[in-house]
Amino acid sequence: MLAYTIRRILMAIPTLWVALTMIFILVRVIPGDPTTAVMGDYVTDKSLEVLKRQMGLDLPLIEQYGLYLYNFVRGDFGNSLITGAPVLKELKNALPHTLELTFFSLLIGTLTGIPLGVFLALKRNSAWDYLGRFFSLAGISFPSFYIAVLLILLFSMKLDLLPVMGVGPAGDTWARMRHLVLPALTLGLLMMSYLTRMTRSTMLDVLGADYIRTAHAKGLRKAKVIFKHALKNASVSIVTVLGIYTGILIGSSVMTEIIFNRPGLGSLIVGSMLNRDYITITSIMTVYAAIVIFINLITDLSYGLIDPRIRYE
Amino acid sequence: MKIFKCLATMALAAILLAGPGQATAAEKILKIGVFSADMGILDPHRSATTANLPIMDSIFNGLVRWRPGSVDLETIEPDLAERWEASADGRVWTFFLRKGVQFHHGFGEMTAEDVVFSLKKAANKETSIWHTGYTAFEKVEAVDPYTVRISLSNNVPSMLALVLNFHGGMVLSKKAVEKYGDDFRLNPVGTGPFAFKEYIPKQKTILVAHPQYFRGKPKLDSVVYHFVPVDQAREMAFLKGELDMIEGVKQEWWVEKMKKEKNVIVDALPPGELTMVHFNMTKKPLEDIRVRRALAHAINRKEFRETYGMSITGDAVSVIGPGYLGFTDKVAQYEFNVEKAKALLKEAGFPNGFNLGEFVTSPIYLNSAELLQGQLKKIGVTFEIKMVDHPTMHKMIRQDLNALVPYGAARFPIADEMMTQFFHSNSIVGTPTGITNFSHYGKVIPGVDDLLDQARVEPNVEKQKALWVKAQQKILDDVPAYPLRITYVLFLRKATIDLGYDLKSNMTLHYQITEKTDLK
Repeated sequence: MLAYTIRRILMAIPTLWVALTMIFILVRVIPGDPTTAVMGDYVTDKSLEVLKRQMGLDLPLIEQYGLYLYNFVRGDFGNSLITGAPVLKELKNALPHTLELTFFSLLIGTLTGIPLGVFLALKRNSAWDYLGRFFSLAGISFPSFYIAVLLILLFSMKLDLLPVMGVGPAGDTWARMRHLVLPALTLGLLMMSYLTRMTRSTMLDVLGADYIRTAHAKGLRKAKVIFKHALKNASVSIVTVLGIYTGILIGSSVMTEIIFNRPGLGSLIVGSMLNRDYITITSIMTVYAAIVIFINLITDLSYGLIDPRIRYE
Repeated sequence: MKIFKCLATMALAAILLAGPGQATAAEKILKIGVFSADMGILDPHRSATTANLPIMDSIFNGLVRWRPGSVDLETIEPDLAERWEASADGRVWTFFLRKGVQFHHGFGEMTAEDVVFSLKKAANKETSIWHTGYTAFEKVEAVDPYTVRISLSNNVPSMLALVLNFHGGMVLSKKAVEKYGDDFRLNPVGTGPFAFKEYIPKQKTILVAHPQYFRGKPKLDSVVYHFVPVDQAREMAFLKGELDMIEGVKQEWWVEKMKKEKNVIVDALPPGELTMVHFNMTKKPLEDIRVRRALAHAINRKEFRETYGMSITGDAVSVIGPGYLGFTDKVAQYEFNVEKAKALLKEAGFPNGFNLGEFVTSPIYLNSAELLQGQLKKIGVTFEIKMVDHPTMHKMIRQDLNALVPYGAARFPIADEMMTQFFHSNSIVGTPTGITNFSHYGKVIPGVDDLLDQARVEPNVEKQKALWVKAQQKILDDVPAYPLRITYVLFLRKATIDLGYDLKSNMTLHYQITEKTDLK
């Protein structure tokens, strides 16, 4: 398993390199450049040239790329073209907020989605089942920013229970948790909907299998059959989906962070994109890619924990 | 379960990574919501982005200043200079500085050396984007630690505007610029009522009171600028009390809705942004004056105001806004008259109109683009709207992609600035000195270069104004562009905030926060 893990990590390097290179080129293909973001839109082309030189944007693209890659490999993610702040510092500020949000959304989604999916599978074709399927479909169909606004209107504006904006003062864990509730709920509902549907359909497949009938015939308790035999066998599919959707969840967190004004990776990417801050975008997107690769790795490794028949060789 | 353990550790690490707390309940903290995803750099000589202007206004001073809450050039008053005098020919200006003015963060007393350094920096094209305004600065010298002398190569009637607390006129600490170098952009040191404390990218910028501020210790302890680019998010945070001041949404229904809220004051302020549509005369048949006049007659300006709302917009009459020094409303008017427009087009040989091809626009200008599309269609002039994001649009309109360019701008309220940028031939887009002359006025047809150049060096203010009036009249006779609407800047504040000044007009594009601003 260790050899497998090392091999997978090594394989991630070329993937990251391709991602970095593609992002590096793509952001520069889009018209517009960071000089305008710094100076506003009404300065002369001559002044823009001076700034371009100062930002190193006058160098040939291949030279810019070489320089960037060299620094990146050495762990220097560069400085923001706009503010000059080190990207690593921006990343250090932003990453915890995104991780926090992703983790709690995942927690809400998993703790509600899987039991609900099992429940709906057991109550197949009942009123509960229809209702659950309807709401989980709605959860997937509604864009997360819309759910976010509905939640704010209800919990913040009407009931005045939770804050609307930001992440709360640093160090004040209680305030931070309060700020986290609505964004985590927004993404948690999305995750719950995905997982409910997935768990339900996988459980239905498993519940029809011969070994389940055998387990019932043996006279095992119903709970034991469901959780020990059925759910455990359904888990591989569920974990696969969980891995894939975690990637989607991180993607969806961009919009949620913007609505709740959380200074996470999503806000960082959108802000940098609007300012055409090439260095920041490239570094942050590469980190995003690394996170997705890491999640996939964790997902793959977890198969072995769930199903002892799976070996990593 | 191992996955959960791992994720739980990550989340815990996330919470711990965020560091210690910073606010205590007793502090007076003013929270401002800015319509921007981030700020730019805090070197006033190199930055013009909207989010930065109010922040820099609190950090820096000029030799002179507008009275807070006003941008009337007649109300200019002493700032870092106690008084000043000009030689009889207006070529030598002497400024006598206040004594004992302290820079932030222990950078010492502000002296003539800092002023000389700052003005030279503002005039240098390597260190300032405002350098073209300072070409007449022949010599800037420190006579003694509290006296600065500026010698001009020619008379500059708007001289005080160059040493004002705005853009290039801001005075920086020489020691701090030398210490931080390029990093000064995130370590700004000025003499203003608030000092820079912290910038958290894409989140907020925190300023703290400068206790030795020369006009007295600020009443607020801290001012926090939150970057909240989504309108709805800003609105909800404001109504919830998480923000004390925000920029508004420029829609009348929204303004009316907010006015009904308790404890909310809405301010719609001049001089605002003037939107014009520029006719790119390199695109046929816009070089024909009959065609341009036809387009002007076909445009219904009232509709342009109505889509935003009459209470937050003003009539655009000339190519500069009312309130700009040199403004006149005695210019050619093209009343909205479709029949007249059609007749002019017929005369020009286009009885059925024509197609102008693709029209690149961004969400910000979509409203103007659609209105133009609808109105011009009635005289058979058509185009296809293509949406791109805002920076892309800026790039493309500078590459002459559009035949029509709607463009909104707020500039320093002197006729020269706006007219030079939009109508001087030096400013034609795509040239090295290009700024925003989208119509190619002054090249395709003779323009107003001579009038603007003359006015810039005219010593007599009345004669200068007369030249600017002439220029506006000629521009509207030639119609290389047509004014559409003035949109006021729109801010909201809690009624519990005492601004500490009488608010009449605003150029900092957000509320100015002074030492007298207070939370009641």
